Amino acid sequence: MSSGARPLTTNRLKRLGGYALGLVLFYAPFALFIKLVAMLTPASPAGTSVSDVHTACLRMPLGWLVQPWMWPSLGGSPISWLPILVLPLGAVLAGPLFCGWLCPAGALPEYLGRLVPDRFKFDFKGRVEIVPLRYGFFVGFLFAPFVSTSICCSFCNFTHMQNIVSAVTGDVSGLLFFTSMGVLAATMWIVPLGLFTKGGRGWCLFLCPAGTTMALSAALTQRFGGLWRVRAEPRTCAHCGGCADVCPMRAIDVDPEEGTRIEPHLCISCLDCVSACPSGSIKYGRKS
Amino acid sequence: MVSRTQKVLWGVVGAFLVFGLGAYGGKVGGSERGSFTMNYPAQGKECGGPSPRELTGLVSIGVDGAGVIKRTLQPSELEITSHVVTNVGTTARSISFETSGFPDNTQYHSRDTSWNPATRTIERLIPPGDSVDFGMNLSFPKPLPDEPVLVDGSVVIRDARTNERLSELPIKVVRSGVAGVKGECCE
Repeated sequence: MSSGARPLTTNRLKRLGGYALGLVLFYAPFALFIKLVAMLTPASPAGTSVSDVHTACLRMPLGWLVQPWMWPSLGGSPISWLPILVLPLGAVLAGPLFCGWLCPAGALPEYLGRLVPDRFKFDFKGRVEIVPLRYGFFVGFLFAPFVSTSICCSFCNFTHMQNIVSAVTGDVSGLLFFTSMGVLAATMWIVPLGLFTKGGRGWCLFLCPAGTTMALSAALTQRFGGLWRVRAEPRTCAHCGGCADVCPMRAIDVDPEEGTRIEPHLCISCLDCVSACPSGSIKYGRKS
Repeated sequence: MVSRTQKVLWGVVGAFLVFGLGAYGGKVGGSERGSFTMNYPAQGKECGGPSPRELTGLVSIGVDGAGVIKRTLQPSELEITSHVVTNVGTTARSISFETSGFPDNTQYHSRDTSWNPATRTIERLIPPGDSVDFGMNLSFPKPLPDEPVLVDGSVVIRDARTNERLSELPIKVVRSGVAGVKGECCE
């Protein structure tokens, strides 16, 4: 395993830099990644002149997987492979680094949430079975078009993040019109599931299908050697609980008898726990 | 220790919460924001409709079905957009949008970089199979006029170079009746 107990603040600042990179790569007016794909595949939807986070939608292609009539859209659109192939494969190799280091939509409520004292926050861990609920939401997301109506576009935090970025860079048109579902989604994303959720990532925990797909990919392959993951070393762990306290995804359980356990279905490889561990017992690296 | 049954139950709860959200979104969404698909060159029903799979040749939005949040915050504003205005022909074309029947203060927009708002034209040549977006922001008087039909308009697509009429989609905004546009634009 690689080692390193970096100060927590330094790690969070580095992550902030990663999220800034994510903004530049995926969000208009920059959207450099999307523009690059457009250059490489001019006949695909990414080859249109519109380049924002919707062009590389991380939600619709996942829904299309269970909608056979949309499979031709997947075939003709290499950029739609991002959430169904590229990001999950990356998560298999190195954990869901996209969530922990590149996704501004996940980071915004987490970082804003640090402005609110913990005593005002709700900690889902121990009160709710987070993992089953997360996968339940995911199944609901996939099959809602068959049961009721899809929430793919109407209940999307990426849209709101794009609207915020656009507004900051001079285009406020995205903020001019509301829908009930849009207001509901934005409010839930930032307020109850962000500011007032321990860790600030309630939306990521339950409502992000892209994150769930990456977590599932990482979790199912974590036992294989050669893959990078956050791992706890039981022999040196002092069971202080520092890692569990700083984990934004509430993914760590510390038990003096059973040891420290990192829930692979939740971990986003943000490495805050690695930085916070005083004994260097949590490390990010290959299985030894 | 949580049993497998309890975990399944939590999962079922999660799925049904999403189904509930979807049901609410489906109920109010079509009244709060209009979405449509439009093809060119095309005639009749092939011109467009509420979604790529629902080419009815007409879009009808019933604003009275809006949810309580929309009715409270923004009862008189309506956005009608499409990001699938598609060239289904075999020739690359520059297109212009001609509208009629919408309120005078309606604002028209596209995110396409070659959009000319003064002429409502996508000035680049759009290749066959390629799509652009087009939308309009409507503002009605407050409170909404007590009329059964607020808008009886249409969007006509013309070839910007030859002025050839390529497609026409009627759009109605009504105060009562069933919304003809569902909440989703993409599926």
